Amino acid sequence: MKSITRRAVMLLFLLLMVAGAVSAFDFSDIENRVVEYRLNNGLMVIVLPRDDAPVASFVTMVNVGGADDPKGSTGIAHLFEHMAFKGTKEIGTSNLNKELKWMAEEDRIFKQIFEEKAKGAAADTALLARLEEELSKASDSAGQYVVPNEYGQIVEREGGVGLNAFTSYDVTAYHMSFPANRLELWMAMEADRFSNPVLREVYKEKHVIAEERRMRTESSPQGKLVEEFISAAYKAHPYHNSLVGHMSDIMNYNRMDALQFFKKYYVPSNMVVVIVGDVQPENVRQLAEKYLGRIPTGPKPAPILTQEPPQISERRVTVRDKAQPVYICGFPIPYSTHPDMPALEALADYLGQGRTSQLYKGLVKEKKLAVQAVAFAGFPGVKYPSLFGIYAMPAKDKTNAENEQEILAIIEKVKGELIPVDEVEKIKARAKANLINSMTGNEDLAMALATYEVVNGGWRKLFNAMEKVEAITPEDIKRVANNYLDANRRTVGMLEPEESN
Amino acid sequence: MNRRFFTILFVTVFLVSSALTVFGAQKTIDKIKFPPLNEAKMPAIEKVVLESGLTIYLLEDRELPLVNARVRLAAGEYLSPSEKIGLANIMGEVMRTGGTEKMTGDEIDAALEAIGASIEVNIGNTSGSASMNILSEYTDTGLQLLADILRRPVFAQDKIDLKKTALRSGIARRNDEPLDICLREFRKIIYGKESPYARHTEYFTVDNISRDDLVAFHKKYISPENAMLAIWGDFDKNEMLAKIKQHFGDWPKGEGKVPKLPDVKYDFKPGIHFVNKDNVTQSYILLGHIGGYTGDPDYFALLVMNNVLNSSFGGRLFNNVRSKLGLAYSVGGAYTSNIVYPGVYYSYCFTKSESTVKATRSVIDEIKRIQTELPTPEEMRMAKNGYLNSFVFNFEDKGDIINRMMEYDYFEFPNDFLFKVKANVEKVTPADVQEVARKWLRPEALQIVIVGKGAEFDEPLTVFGAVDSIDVTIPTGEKKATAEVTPEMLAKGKQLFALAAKASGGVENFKKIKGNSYKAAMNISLPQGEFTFESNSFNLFPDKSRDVIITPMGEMINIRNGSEGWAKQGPAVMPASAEDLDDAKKDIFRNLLLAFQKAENPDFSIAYIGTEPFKGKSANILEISSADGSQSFKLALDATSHLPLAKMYFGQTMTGPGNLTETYDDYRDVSGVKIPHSVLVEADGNRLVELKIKEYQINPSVDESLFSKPQ
Repeated sequence: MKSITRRAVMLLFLLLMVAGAVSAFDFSDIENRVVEYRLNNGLMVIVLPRDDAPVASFVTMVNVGGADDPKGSTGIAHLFEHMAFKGTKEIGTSNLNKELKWMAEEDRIFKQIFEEKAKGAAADTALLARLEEELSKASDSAGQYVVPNEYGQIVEREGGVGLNAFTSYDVTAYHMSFPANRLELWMAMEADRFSNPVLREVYKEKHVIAEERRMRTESSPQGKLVEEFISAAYKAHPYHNSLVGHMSDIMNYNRMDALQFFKKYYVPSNMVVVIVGDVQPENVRQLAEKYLGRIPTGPKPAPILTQEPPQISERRVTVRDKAQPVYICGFPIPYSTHPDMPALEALADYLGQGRTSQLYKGLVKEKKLAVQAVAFAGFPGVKYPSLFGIYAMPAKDKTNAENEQEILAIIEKVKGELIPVDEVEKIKARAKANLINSMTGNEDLAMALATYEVVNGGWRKLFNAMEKVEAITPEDIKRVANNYLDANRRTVGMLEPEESN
Repeated sequence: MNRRFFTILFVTVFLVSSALTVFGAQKTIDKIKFPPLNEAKMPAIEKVVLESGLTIYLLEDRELPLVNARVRLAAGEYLSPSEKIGLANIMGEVMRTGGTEKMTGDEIDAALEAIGASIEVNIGNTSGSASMNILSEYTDTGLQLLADILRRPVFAQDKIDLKKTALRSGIARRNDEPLDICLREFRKIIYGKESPYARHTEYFTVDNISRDDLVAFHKKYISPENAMLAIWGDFDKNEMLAKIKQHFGDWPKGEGKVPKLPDVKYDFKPGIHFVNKDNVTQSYILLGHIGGYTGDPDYFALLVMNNVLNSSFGGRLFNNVRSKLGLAYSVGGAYTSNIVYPGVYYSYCFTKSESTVKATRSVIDEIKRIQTELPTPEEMRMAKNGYLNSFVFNFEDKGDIINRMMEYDYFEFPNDFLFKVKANVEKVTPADVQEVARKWLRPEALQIVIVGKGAEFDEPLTVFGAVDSIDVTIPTGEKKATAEVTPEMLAKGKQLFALAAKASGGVENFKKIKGNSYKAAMNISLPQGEFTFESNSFNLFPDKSRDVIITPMGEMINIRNGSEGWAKQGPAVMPASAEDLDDAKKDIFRNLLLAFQKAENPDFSIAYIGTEPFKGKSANILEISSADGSQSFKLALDATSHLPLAKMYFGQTMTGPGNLTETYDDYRDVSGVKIPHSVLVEADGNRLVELKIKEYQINPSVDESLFSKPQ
């Protein structure tokens, strides 16, 4: 009796869903409100007016990331992101000329240290100690004229919230929100830091970055695993390198390195500005021309030409640490705008997103091998060929090996069968709900527009994303599973518990 | 000088220097004039109280086709008994995952994911919530499910087990990341390790929780008088209210309001606590003491003080410890306040091992400095204007607005409290900041917790006082539940155990047992599949045993003889591991044939814990412990026949220590005692091995050489 009732309930749910599916949300309402224009210097500005509350969110996204770090200076994209908060010729100093004089002195001493260190074993340690002392003094002297964190202080004082930035392998993004009447202030400050940045306190900041590396990577077992995994998965393409930088590079790079990097990549044609909130597009345009139009132009930097060669063997890395096991595996897949990406994202959803996904059902619910099991398409970056990843956190007393065996069985299964049509419909419904949910907050929407503009082939694609998702068939999913989830092109990373002493 | 004079003096200084900043300005940005800010629209929130006591808040927002709801539940983990920490958390999760009267949990998962919706229940320390996010076209489906989950959960056992596995795995992982250790231990030091605001699960507290506990918790606390419902998004208010009434209007009242949150007793005293971690290059430093109450008149000045000291750009800690000294990437803190129980004051700093003491000192210096050095006009300007100018962001998100109103109502705070905060922050002076810093911060009584690699510290931590080394070893689960054992429980335990001995053949018959032997078919579950082997066992009590398993690859022999033991497989003979020998020793204590002989032994403590369903039967649960409490196991006795249904203990599994359950069935008479001929062994809920006994002998004639080291 009970099972019949249950079937009736399920049927009712299906009916409700079909009834609902008729009314589709029209994204064009929002899309048509977006205004874009390119300034004379080549900078793209995208504005979405939204007057719900008198606030606005701002994103400046630069088409440069950790993958663009030059050899020997890994982490320099990330260093510049930190330096962009240090101020300008006007902000952050009480006497620019005196400060610049001491900064030049810092650079001179640092160069000497660098040259002495380059002698390796022959380096004069006493001289090095003296130079370090001198550098510290020069930094303190420059520091007398520094108004610490003035840039951020002005933003906070004027009611800015969420002032921050991030560096990925693909892009560097600066974001914050202001009460909407601070629009001009934001324009002036943003234009100032990308026209006249002063890279002050660089030799102190590198120690801050070293702490960031210690926190994210060196003192975190999972952080270590992720770094090892990525560098194993890529051998030629610069996704291979540490994003925050190798410790020796962090210690070795200097102010000129960061400045050269800035000059090469922070050119208007390589940047996009997105504003979502209670603003008038025409007013934004005038102010953008006045302020952001001043950012000096430069040639659009070339993309990375190094291609990751086809992987010809499985690669495995094991980190042994005092921690519980973690399993990651990855398979090479193309870049974000490749036509196979929507089907790969659907495959990731089917395999490893949510409680009804194959990995969760198999590993967590049924076999109780894991407490978490997810799949994702597009890691560690998407601008260049990427990875399809699977992550599992074994349950207590379960091993990576047991999880791997089950994961591989699930992969084989998806390669051998056409997934049911209602599963594909489910994937579409979830993609749609996720898309709509991503539009609720100004900042999320601004970030989504910027990301689509810079790495996904244009901001309009955000609103058309559903078209591609709607076209996916079970055959597409089976095809990409077979084309990409190949055991010979797999990279596996495992965190294994170290025997405690 | 009195405080009022100070106030006037500093207000004057503040005004003059602000003016100077303006007149002396050369910055481009100082010339920018801000147009007036459009007024924040106050969305209309409708509030309705149903007869059952359920309060409902509705807010229309039709930009996107979404409906969000949050049911505030007054129940929290603080209501869980100390020997069952985790109960409220498991109850919340399994409300959602364990199915309802109409659908299984898996069916609910499928129904929600098919429409890209989510409903989640989460019970925290002091309150909980059920949240729903759904496309508005599926509102009816969502409300039906939400109501069923809240009102009619069935708590399926398999989903309880799933959640318990997740919690146990979380316990096993809790020392992996140094930051987790630091936060957890700091809270315990501030609130007390038994405090509901700091305590956490252990294996045994999770093990102690049964389905009956969940059902009882739900019945007692998840009720309309303990719930408030906020719903916002794409709907018509009146239609929505009608729908909610349809689903929640007949929700019957429960057993009354939840008990109040407990108070906190705190003694200010300094302390330095240390956790050594060899696999890190950075130290995690957290220091502070108890915090305050939101209702305190000093709350507003403390908010400003927080900004002066901790603001993420331009706060003193950030400026000095991060930017000037380059000692940390992460540095900050807050004086936090709660409505009903005190918050904490904390400062944190993560620094390389070699600058641990230096960084700690620099953080403490800043705490002292906020008491002695008045905030500069510029600091005040940043700290106050930062709050005031960003005030409008309180009205950006509809969910924030409606949830804030609901929270204020729950605690009977005025709805316009936020505006009161704004008005009062405007009035705060530098002297006020200094005064509250002096009154509420106690740099001489800081509790400091440091997790790091001690061998690489710049100076020994003893510079801060006598160091308390915290042992973060995870208790293996042998620790007994801390519930007090009453004389009644002991009396009843002894009585039930005697009944079990009697039902099983009588103490006298057990006393005659010196050894046994049996042949069995062993069915083992391995990752590769299930396998059945013949086995042959000999025991000479208490400490001699020989088990032979016949496999297609030959015989595997396991021998224990007193403090020695060996395993033989093929030609290889290996000594038993220390863990195995230790477990074998404990096995003697857990051996029921021997336990029944000792039914009257005073060293043997037997407590009756309760009566619960066990695999479809009603069972009396006993906890049997050695006199020193070092060893224990649980016994489930059939409430009708008194025969043992199962034995539960912590011991060695194939993958290390775990919780084992032996379930007994198919009792047959052997030499006057009842012996189960079917034994199922499970580890952490997973089937491990099943034994079907074919031949069983008591006191067989065995050659002692069987127990010597195999050749």
